[in-house]
Amino acid sequence: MAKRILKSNECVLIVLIAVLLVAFYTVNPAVLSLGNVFSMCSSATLNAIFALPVLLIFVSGGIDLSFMAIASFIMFTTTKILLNNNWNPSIVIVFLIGIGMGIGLGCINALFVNAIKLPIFIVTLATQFLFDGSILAFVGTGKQVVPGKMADFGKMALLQIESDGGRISTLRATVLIVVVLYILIWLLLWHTRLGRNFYLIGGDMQAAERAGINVKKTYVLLFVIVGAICGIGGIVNACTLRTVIAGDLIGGEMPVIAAVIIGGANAEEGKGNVVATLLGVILITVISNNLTILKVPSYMQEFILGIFIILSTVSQVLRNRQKYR
Amino acid sequence: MGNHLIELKHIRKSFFGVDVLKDLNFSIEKGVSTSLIGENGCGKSTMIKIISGFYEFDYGEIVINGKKYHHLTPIEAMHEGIQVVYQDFSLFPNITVAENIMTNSLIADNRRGIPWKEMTQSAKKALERIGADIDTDILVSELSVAQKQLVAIARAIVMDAKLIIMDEPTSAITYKEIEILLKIVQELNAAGIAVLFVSHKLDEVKAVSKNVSVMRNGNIVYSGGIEGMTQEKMVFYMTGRELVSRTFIYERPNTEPVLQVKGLGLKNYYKDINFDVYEGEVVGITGLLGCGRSELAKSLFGLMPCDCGEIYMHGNAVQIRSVRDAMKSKIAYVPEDRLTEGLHLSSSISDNAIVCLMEKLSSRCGFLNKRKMVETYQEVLNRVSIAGMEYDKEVRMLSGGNQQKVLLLKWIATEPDLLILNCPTVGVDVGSKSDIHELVHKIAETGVSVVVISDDLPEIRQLCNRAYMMHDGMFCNEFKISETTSEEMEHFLTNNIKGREE
Repeated sequence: MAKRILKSNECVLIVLIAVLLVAFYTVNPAVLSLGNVFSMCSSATLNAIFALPVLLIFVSGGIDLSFMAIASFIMFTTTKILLNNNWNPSIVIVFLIGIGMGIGLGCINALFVNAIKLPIFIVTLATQFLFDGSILAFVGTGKQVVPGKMADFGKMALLQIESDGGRISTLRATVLIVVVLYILIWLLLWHTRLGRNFYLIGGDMQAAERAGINVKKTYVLLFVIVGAICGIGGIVNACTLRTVIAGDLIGGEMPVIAAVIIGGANAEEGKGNVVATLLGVILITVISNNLTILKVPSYMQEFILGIFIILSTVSQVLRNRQKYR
Repeated sequence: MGNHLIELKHIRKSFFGVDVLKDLNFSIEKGVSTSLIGENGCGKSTMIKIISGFYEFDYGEIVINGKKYHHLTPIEAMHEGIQVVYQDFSLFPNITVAENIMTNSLIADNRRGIPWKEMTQSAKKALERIGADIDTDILVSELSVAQKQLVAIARAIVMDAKLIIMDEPTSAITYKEIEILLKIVQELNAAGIAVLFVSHKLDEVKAVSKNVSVMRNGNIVYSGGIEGMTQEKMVFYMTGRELVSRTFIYERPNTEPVLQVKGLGLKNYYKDINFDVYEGEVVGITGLLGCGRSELAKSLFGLMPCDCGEIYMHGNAVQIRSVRDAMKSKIAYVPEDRLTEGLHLSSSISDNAIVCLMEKLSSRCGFLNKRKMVETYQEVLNRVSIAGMEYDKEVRMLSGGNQQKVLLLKWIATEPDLLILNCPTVGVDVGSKSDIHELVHKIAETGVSVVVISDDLPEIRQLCNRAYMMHDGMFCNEFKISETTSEEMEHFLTNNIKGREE
């Protein structure tokens, strides 16, 4: 049992993160300052939220390409609706609008997956362009400043600590959303029938049907949940940036998918879990944030990230092979 | 008839106007194992799906535990205690053994939460009931095929099964594992659980069941006790024709052997292998799974090059380090697992037939000569009858037996001097098996030497004129088929098993 834990992906990730932090610390002691830790939290927030939809679809045996397009659509459209109506509602209502829209767009994905029986990858490849294009085609273009209460939420601090130099380090309240979402999805995946059914469909769809699972219904619920999380992510992004640009977020899919893969999730085998995914996000954030501090150019960062993805997948494969022996 | 668990009365089922089941009557007694045999396409799987509620039937009625059904849903079948252990087991590779065993029952009970602890305990109990020692915390993807089967059986037990249908349960497991399985079936019967055992292998049917039903063309053509049933009778009922099993008569020509193997060895697999094969001879190599027979065959074809010893073709020493070397020496190899090693399943029959000849069929610049291709595949494929064959049909649409024929033809087309067949009729029904045997004899008569690797003694006896028995990586006996009885051969084989257990 103890051996199994030591060899688990989570354990390897924790060790890796620790090693990286120590390495960065020796180069630049500011890495472990409260300010930097808080800033890493802020920059991990968005990727952490978007990693959940990717993870959920991965364990169900598919790859989703549309999550950022959904978030982008919701972010821009919600802001536009509020501004056009001169409305500045409480942040809860803004989130409800975003979640509602996410559910709607998720249903569109589910509809195509169920009706045409196409792989999720292909459906979401199409709907990604569909959602992205419809922002510019039907909603609007350009830049907008979000209503006051959204901006207030984006600035809201959970913790504020003044360091010796008088610099104020802020832990943003949006981190709480990540915590709540991760607990909810963990409960969903481990302790509800629905969550287990996602794994069963990802493991063997035919066997799932034979076990009496309503696969179509499960897909609808899956995409509804995924859409809702994308909605939350979109709103969080709007609040944090305070200005929204049409088509923003789109193109940011790959680092998120990379984090989930580093977290050991695997669409082909229907594997993945919440804790390891979060660790994957943290690992990527630690790498990119601190390389930025060290003024490593972004193309080098991408190069290094590529190496990490290869290493992590190779190590997962090797550990799997050992198990078979 | 109070002791009937399930009775099918006048069941009819057709797909797109084609009658698959025609007025079928069938019954299973409580707590008894019944075997169902029949060739591919006779309607066995349709009947299984009707019993388990996955197909609706067009006419007739099903009586289960005295209750009449004119329409049966999967849920109703499940509640009546009918469970199917599918050929592919229908397990989930990405979750643990415990969850696999318990999931179906949790879904059937409509439980929303996941009782992890209770799940592990119940799963352990279920595994204990069938005497299986499997860690319930590991993922199913880490199990062997036989272990997966046990997990699937444990899952059926958890569902309070009164009837477990096992769809070709022995096609993918080893000799010893089959014995364990047969024991489990007997224990299930003792616990009052009936088993419907669907199989191709006639000897297992005899070992395991009390009743046997034979299906042909959508009808049950024989139903009755297993006593007095002989292999010949079963085959007759299944195929509707008497299959002559003649032994292969061979006279050794006065030439030097086509293949000569001297002191061949491969570390951990086999050692000190000496044998020769003459022109037009069919030589068998038999032995239990893991005795090194497959590895030896693969070495001769360059898939697992040997690390010592010599191979001679027509008296000339040859080095076989790769498949290309083997093909240059005119050696052809038909693998054991046609699905993953032998055929391009989604390509057409014609493309599969000529895939090894592509080099010959293309011009110097690499362009394919279409006309020559058509001529060649027609010539190749016309050597034997393949039911339902159209040149451009995908190979996966064919039955197992016919796929195997395509695979054989593909290699015969390369005009080899030596043809190695690794378990040529695994998972093939009796009728096609006999066709394949005939085809092999025909090839041998044209002067091709054939080496057959198989653990199926009756098959070795039918195909070969000479056979070697292998044990723990070494040849231990040589037989002339015409001078050895099947009892003698079985005696040697079982002695080897005992020797290994001691």
